[in-house]
Amino acid sequence: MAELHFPSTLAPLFPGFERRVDVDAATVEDALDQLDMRWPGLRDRLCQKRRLRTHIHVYVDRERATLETPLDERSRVDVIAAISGG
Amino acid sequence: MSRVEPIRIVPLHSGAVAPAPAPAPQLTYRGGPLLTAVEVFTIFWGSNDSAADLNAFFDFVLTSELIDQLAEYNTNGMAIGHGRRIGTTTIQAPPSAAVVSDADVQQTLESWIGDGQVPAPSANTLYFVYLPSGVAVDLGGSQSCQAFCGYHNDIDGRVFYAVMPYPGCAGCVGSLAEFDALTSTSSHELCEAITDPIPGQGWYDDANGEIGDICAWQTKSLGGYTVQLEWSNVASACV
Repeated sequence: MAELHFPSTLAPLFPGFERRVDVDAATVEDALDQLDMRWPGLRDRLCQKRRLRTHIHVYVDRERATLETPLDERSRVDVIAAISGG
Repeated sequence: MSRVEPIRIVPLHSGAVAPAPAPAPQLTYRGGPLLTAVEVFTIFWGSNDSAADLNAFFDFVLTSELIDQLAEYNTNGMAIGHGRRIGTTTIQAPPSAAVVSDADVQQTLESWIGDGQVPAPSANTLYFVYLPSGVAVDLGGSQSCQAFCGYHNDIDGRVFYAVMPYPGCAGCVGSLAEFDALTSTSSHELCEAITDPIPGQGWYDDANGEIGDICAWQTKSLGGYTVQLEWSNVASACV
């Protein structure tokens, strides 16, 4: 299962949201679609149509990723939002 | 949709037993670029009464000890030194909508660079885009003044910018005067953009974010300006 890590800014938006989630998914997009079923609206927060929003950065095993980036069962996915408490 | 509290709020005491303390933040370097001699260009998108004062703030802070303290994050042959402000411009026409997206900001910034209103970027250029009162930024459903007070980002790893909405709300001012809130937030984004210009590829902590996030809204006075404290791995504290 891929291991996904999300930014703290998402937690207040979705009741019961977990910042670290394991997902069995083939791609980043597949993973987000699965999590959107668990927390409806999550995908829309991160994506616009078929692309990541410009302020969302996703890394798979420390490499910049897109929605199409493949995942394997040992992938680590970091989702970072360019929003800060500034 | 759930309302998002400003990140800067101090939570109420719950009365519950305090959980075990979380591990201390520790920024780690992720292999990307740093802005080692930052060149700030300020852009006032619409008129801004604080423009001259904000430019004076950058002229001071870019050669101040706030930059000196970032030297602990020198790495891979990259040494963070003083920066400078390379210019400023006021775009007289404000944004055409009351809410703009980050994609709008990116597209507009690229157009300004393309038509010469704004200089082309170098590897150290950091554009600070100040928005006028009454204009908010929406980031995937989270709006400035509701969920955040400023942010920085990049375009394809070649254009680095920070966006500073007008702090016309209690959540982005707190107990500070508006100008002090602006310099605090600007210093936060400045230090983050220097140490992590491509968010997540520079110095970053998985649990706590960037150097400024860890110390959000802890401020000090420097040269008469209000600036934010920044996380120090060496001191294991906000300094």
